[in-house]
Amino acid sequence: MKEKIASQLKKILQTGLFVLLIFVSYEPLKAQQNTVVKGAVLNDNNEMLSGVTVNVTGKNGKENYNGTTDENGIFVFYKLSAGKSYDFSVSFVGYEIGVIKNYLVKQQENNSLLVKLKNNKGAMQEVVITALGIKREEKSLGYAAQTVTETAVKDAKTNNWVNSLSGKVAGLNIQGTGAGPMGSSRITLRGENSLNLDNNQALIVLDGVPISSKITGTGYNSHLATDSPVDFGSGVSDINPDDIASITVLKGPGATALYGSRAAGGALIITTKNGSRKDKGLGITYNTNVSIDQVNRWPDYQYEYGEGRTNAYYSYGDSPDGINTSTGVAAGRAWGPKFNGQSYFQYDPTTPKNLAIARTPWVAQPDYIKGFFQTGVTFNNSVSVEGGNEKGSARLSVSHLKNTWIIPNTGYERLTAALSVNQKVTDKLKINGKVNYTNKKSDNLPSAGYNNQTLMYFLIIGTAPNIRPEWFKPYWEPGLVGVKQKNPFNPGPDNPYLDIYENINKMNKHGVVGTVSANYEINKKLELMIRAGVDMAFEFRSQQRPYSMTKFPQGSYREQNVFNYEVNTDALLTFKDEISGKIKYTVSAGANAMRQTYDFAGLYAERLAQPGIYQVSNSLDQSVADPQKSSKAINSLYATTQWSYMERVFLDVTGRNDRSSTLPYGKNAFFYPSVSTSFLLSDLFDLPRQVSFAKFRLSWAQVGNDTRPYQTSKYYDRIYGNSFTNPGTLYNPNLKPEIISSYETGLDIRFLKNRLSVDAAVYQNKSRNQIIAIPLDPTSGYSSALINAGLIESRGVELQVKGTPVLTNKFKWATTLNWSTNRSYVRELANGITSQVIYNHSNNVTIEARVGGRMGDMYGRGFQRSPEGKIIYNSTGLPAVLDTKTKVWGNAFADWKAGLMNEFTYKNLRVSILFDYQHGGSMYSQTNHKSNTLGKTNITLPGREGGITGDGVVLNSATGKYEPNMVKVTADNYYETIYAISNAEMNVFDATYLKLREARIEFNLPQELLIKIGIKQTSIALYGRDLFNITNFPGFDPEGGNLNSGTITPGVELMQFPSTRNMGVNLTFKF
Amino acid sequence: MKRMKHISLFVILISSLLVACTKKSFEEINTDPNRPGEVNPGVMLGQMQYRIVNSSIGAARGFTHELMQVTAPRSSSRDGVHRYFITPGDGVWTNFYNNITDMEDIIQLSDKLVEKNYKAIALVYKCWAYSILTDLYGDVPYSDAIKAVEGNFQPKFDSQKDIYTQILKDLITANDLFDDSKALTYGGDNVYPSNTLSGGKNIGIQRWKKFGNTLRLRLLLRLSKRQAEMDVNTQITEILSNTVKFPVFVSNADEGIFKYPNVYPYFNPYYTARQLDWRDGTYYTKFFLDKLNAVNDPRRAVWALPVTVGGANVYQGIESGYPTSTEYVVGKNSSYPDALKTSSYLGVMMTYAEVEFIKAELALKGFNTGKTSKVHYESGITASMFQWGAAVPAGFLSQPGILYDATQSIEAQLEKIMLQKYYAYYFVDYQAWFEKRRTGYPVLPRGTGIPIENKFPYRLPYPTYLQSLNPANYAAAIATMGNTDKSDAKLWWDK
Repeated sequence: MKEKIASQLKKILQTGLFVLLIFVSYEPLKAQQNTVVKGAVLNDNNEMLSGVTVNVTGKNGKENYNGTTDENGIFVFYKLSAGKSYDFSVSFVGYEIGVIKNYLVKQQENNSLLVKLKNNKGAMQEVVITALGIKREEKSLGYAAQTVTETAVKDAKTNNWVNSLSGKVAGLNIQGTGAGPMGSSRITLRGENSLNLDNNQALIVLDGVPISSKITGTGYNSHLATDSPVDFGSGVSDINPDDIASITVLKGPGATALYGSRAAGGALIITTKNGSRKDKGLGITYNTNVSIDQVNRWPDYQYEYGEGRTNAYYSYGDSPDGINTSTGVAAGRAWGPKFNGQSYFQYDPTTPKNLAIARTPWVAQPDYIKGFFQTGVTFNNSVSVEGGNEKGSARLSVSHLKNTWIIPNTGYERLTAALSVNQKVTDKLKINGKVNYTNKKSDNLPSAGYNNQTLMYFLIIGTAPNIRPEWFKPYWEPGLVGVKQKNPFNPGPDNPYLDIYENINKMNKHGVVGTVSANYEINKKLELMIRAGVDMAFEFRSQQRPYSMTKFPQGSYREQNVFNYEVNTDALLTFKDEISGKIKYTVSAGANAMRQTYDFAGLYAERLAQPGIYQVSNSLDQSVADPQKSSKAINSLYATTQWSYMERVFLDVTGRNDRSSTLPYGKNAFFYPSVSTSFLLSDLFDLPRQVSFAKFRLSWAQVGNDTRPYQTSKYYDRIYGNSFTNPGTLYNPNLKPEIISSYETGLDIRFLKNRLSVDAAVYQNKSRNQIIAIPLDPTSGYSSALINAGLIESRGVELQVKGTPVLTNKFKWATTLNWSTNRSYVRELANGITSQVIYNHSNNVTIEARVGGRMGDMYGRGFQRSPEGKIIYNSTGLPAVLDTKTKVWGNAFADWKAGLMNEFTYKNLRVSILFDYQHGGSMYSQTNHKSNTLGKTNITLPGREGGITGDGVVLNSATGKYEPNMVKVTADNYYETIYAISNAEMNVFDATYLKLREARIEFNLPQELLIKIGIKQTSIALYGRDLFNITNFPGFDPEGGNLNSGTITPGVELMQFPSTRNMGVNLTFKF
Repeated sequence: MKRMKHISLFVILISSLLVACTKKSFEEINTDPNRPGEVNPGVMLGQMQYRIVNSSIGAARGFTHELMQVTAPRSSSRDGVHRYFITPGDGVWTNFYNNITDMEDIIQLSDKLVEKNYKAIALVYKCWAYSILTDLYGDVPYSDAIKAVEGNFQPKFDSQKDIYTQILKDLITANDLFDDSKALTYGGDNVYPSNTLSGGKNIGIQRWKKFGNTLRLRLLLRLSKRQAEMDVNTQITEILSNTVKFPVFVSNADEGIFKYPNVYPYFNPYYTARQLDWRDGTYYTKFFLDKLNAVNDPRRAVWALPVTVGGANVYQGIESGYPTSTEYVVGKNSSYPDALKTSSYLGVMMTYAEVEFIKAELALKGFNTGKTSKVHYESGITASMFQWGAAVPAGFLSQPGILYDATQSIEAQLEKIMLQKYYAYYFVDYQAWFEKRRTGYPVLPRGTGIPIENKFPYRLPYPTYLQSLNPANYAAAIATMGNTDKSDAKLWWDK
């Protein structure tokens, strides 16, 4: 009987679902000479571990008992005989096995043991949280799932924690925006499967709650729109990284098929920390962090020539030296005279019209751009309290972050609170609750992109190497404060200090992500889980535009209330059993109801009645309301079953049926199946002794993707506030979902007792029936039509190599290499369509999907070339008109990426260094185009004196032959032509980079000292992020993209903000 | 048994969870709360009027003014319309067809609601828009256009003759539909916005009626060379003789100008244009200003910004078609004044002055307009000045260069009329160019930087996208021009 119970317990444990179920194992007390042996099992952090299997064998080999630790991490054996010696073996998933040999049990004494288990991340029994929060043993998975622990997002903090995953997960790609302190980014896994950029983003799930990655844009694109995009951040960046316990990255449809249509682009499953039992009192952790941001890389600016279009002389306004060569004529151009110690009539801040009375020395101002930036500072404090007893536990954390960014008067503040509660209400019922609250606010976020009112536009177009930054400081005309800006040089861009201090974008957001769940154990085999999760955010935004801004002559004030709400309700019934002890199986069935509501209410005063009063009521015209609401529902039924044979062969089958409100009713139900298997080769075959573990996995899956709401019937578009027009896109009442089918296979081999492990994955995704808007001949009445078409095929390889080259008692060197490559090919598009434009930068460069090409191919124009490949010039000495045929000049996505993490631990010292490398990929640089055509960079110096003869050929019309170009042109003419905005050939660059992404030194103070003053643990760390960025890219950062309203587009940089180096100090105290 | 109970409980739970999954609730969820599925013609009309006039005056400023030597770019290191490099551009193609989609909608909605006045206004707009399109390109999609909803994504092109025939018919239909005893039920007219009955009559509708007939007169005159096929003269005579049935513009108050109210949302489209874009890159030409300077034309002050030369305020222009090595500096020649950016009167579609110049030409050709060519000519000049807020200075009409001399040759009289018509076409879409093609006037000097092989254009090449999005019909359309999409091919009415 006892054996039966024990073996039953063991079996249940082996199913890997013990975390959900709490077992307490103690055997009936029998009064005999047996002695009680008690023990406690702790982990590295001295936290009690419950549910740990303890196996005791007597020296004679006949006695063999199994037990488990209880909620308090305590195990008790009652049957051991005094005077005998026993071997204890303590094993727990995720930890190395702890062994105590020859423990002599003493009569009547308090026999107690303390076992410390070492965390073993590489161990084969690692538990992985998979789709829908189902916990699984890693060995049973038939697909790639990579888990990163809290240190990955905590070690070197950044404004958006997601960005700190870069280089740490094979196949994960993070595309920044270079648009401000919020650091919004686009997260993709395994390349681009959909022609719709927003569909390719990974799903982010926080404690079982899918959270919105939607970026509510300003409605404006980043190239010379009426107003500019502002990066207000997204829900993902609201999470306090200190609350994150682990992140599991489910990379492909095989892993995410259970999430149905939403996770077609993979998923990041984030688990926040739970309270854990403390032996006594509270567990308090206090963390304080201070970091600074500095610009880490500048374009190659020149400081040898000043403002002007002629190098004969310089004059601010007409002067005895000649007519004005500054202001409007020069328009920020630096083709003026060399700084040669001469003097000119220059801008004089002290005279009434700023015209100089006398000549002043003509000298370079090395801070003419750099002087507009400052060192950013971020303070981050967090405190958490946790504790619990055998019935339950709780954790509460509060954090505060204050950021001042590298541009004066910008930055933000964030307050978070997180609560996690678990309670075992009865033996059968357990309830959990988690809630994360965030308040994020900013008094000003910078306007981004290429536009009159952005600082970056000004810095290239509005100033020149002979101009002092402070000359722009009085930004109002004297006597016209608040009414007319002062713009002493180029009238195109607004005064930079007006941008910084008066062009204000505010936000204040309250967000809650919460989940409640209950697990009810109907009997040992049957369990019911019910869960409800909500992601809700309310945000207030406003944009103030003062009088006399170029695009807002009478100012403007806009405000928006943005409400985002999503609720998910799940029920999941799980049945577990086994057949003849060899085959174990689990069958689960469940349902999910998802409801999503988005409510955007904009109120605009497009012109202000009175300057400087930013209220909707101060609208000169009738104020405008801009409501944008949408809602969406998906109802799903799903089932999953897992089978294992002898714990060596595993088979998973899942199926999910989604019914989406966005698709035509009656044709809106779709089934997504998946099958995955895993074979433990190391158990099935006799492998060489050096191989400690080997697993082969194979999976197939199919998932779908629905569309945005309201695409299936005709609606009129609102225009100019109160009028309506036909929409540009023709609706489609017969839309079908996109379908992505995926094959994946992988091998996980570990050698030398897990000292070296290699995990490789190979996959192929095919996505069909893409919902795309194909262009129409507008004479048909519409400029595009929504249809299902296309076939995109993605292939890729992911590799993760982990090693521990040195491991001694005091010193450990652990290294991890992540490597991945992906190619997404466009196989088919709609009938008769050979190209689908994904992103268009004013026809200067386009990212197009062309049949036969790769996703991300960048098309644009280049020089006309002779048959020998030389650039064709015209008779005036300049390159001929660009070739009208567009060509591929690069691809927005990398050829391959690698991250190398090295971690050294010596006693209490831990040092970690992460290198992040991207090979290939391309980016169009507007910064480069504009800096070069305006003569701001060193590359434009050759030929300044005496002109330049371009290397190319000219067609001799008499002979019909190409002859070398002999005509000399001025440098400004030459560089303005070759770097023209429409010349993609000269402005698309290789985006290869090597970054020192993270470096950190952490020192843990010796515990013996601390215990005396009541502190359990103290660590102090110094860290740096993005310390070096080695690349040939001529802009700031090849990792940037640009923010177009609410979509982050890769491959094109439109006046990105400088990339920063972040350095900080982190102090942690645990009480 | 107990297990069964739990499972059935679970099933009930799930069913209740998914109970919302009914057709009604899902269709309700997927009904857009922001945008209406149905609209009335009143909320469609105003925005269409605004957008299409923005497009047409944009074409005037961006293309016609440069080609017809009103203005020239400050710096132009290669190509350029002023050097007769005509690239296959969009012109107003896309914007006009987009707006025609709304016009067709208004026509359908008005039929449904029995709103004759809306239908007639939309018909007039459709005729106006298609006449410009066909005069620009030649054959264009017409009878097959705007039928994507019916699944026709690639409309066939119609011949210019067929399009003109239908336009002239539609204008008569519109004329018959107008009911000046009714206000516009849903309002929305931004061109003649009063929409109130005075003495039982809606003056706005009366003016639309005049607009339609004036347009018909403009188009009939354009078909002068096609008298034989189209019986143009009869129709002109019909309009001139029956002014009750076919009223045309008789005063400046009638004229077809979208008067920008300059309150949200209907601002002059250049309202916030940067100085850089509005006037630092474009200057008036010598051709345009010198002729105005010679007669001290008071419209100069409205149209151009004076510059200081030797201490005096003058109106000074630059060459058109200058060599690529030339570049004019900023601010030393006359450009558009900032007042035009915010002017309410820039949205010109069809003017009263034009009718007078049309009548001047008709009188010259022997039609009975009731007055002499000279009277019409002088009324035309007066009307244009009045339109731009200028008064005719004393003696203006009798000074050399302006004075109309009815004893001159017909050709010389026509040239005089056409020059003043050219000035009156300031900011009127492409009309100055169309009329130059028809009559050869005004005679423009040829810039020294215009390559010898470049010819003055007679049409615009079609937008390039047609080659990929409507290839078969595009090929058929250019077949008549020798399978090339040339800019120097003369159109049907011009042959």
